Amino acid sequence: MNNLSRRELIKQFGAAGLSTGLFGASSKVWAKEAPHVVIVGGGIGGASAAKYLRIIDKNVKITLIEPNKEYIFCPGSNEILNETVTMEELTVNYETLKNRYAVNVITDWADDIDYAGKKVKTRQSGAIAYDKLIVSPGPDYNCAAIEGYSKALAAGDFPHAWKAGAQTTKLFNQMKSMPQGGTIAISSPPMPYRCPPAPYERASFMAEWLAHHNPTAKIIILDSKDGFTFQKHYLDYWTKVRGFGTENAMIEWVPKKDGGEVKRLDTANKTLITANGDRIKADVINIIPNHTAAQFAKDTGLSQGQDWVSIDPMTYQSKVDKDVYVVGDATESSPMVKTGYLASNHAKVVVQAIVDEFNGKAPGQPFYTNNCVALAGDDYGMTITDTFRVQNGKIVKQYGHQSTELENESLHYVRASLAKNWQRAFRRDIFA
Amino acid sequence: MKKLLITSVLASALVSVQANASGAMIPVEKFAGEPPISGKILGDNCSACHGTMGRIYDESMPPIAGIPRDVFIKLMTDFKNEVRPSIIMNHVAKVFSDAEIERMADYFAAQTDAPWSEENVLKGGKYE
Repeated sequence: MNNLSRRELIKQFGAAGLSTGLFGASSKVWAKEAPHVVIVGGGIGGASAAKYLRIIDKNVKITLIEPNKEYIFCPGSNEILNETVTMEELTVNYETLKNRYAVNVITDWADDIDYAGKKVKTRQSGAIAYDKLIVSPGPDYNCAAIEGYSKALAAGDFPHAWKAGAQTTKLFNQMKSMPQGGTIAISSPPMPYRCPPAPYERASFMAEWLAHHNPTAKIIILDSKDGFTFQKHYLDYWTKVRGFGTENAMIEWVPKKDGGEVKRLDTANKTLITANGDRIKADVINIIPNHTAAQFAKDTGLSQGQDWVSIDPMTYQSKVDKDVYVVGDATESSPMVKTGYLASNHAKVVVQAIVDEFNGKAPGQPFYTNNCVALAGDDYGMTITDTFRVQNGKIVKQYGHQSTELENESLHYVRASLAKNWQRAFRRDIFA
Repeated sequence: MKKLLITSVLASALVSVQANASGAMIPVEKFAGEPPISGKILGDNCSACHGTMGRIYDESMPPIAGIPRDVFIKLMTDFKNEVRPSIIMNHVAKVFSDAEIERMADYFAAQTDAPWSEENVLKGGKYE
């Protein structure tokens, strides 16, 4: 059915012949024949899918299933730690998607997919039928990969704070109440994980806060990798302003090859034990856990027993069912990294492919960029420009560039401004 | 002074041992065997900075909705060829073919030159 005939149907049936149950709350009326696209997960991927689908198709029914009434942006959430952003600034709700984009938002957990019956099973709202399903469940955190660590500890005294929210606030408060000259230990995970430069950005912002409030404190980054995104910027900045490499260094970085990989948490002694047996006692311990696809992707079989969900890079259609699409961090999209920027661009490709199919057209050629930002301090920003194309059904990185101007300090300041600008603009692009 | 010197030597040593993180670019011609990418799919990658449909007017990154076709083509081509200095746009632009830049130019020229926040998404036009 094409757009025109659906529009005609709405004209003919008016308000009378239309289903009002599920969509009764919406000011928009829908033709019975209007296809129903259901989206699981209201993070960046899911919200982008809802908004951009409505922009290109005014007549499709859209339902978003998300357990939380608010979403707190992860991009920009390290800034809680140097007090340059508030939780309120990072927090959005679903009212705009509901009212402006006529998206039926169901506050509930999606638990399973009935592929044969084309229904999503929810915890409280019954089974919801779909014509097309977009799944954007995000990552899950495998805390148990580090012996002695657990999700319960993450929710308690050892926050990972890798999903912005209460744990982020708790981590800030732990830093704030640390004794003068205390130590923060950060365990940085192996790839892949969401936002590769973020552990180092986090350390930088903590150092910025500590420089004002606790100048003899130390941060030690214990790394399960030997290198990281924007490494030369971070090391250069830390050398210039945080004494990196000297006895008075506020930040120390221990790569995997020097024994940085954390193997065990000893909660009783607030100590991390590394691969070579070193014991690092700290006042604040921040373990950023290994990632896998979210539990929903595993429970529904979408991940096919793997850590991540395989997709067709042309459309982000799942390998399990042709009417189910998966976007964002949960997908196996290498050589792409896991970022909100890319999740939103996966979503735009998916909704175009779905509308093309409704209109009897083959999917178009996709294109994905990750033109993103990071900060080393409130006055020092970096940019990355990654471009991905699909060639012979595979994702190919056409170009990847990280800003390089170490000699031109004014550009760092400009990029910091650009990074903050980007965070505001990005939040609006997804939720406003 | 001595400490300063040590720090600066250390810093330059660190810089020199880091591999250049920037990989080489695969020329766009190498992808000529694939179907052309629409102006919309290309252009919607710009929204995180330039706003939904290029319609953000109150941030430092400029709106691009309604930009005249020839102006867009000139700007992007100059970014691509490193003729026009920029913070990031030269690296954004250099991946595109001339034809792709033209398709994006058509897409953005066709967008309404007004803030996206004013767009009545369901009915079209401005909110009443």
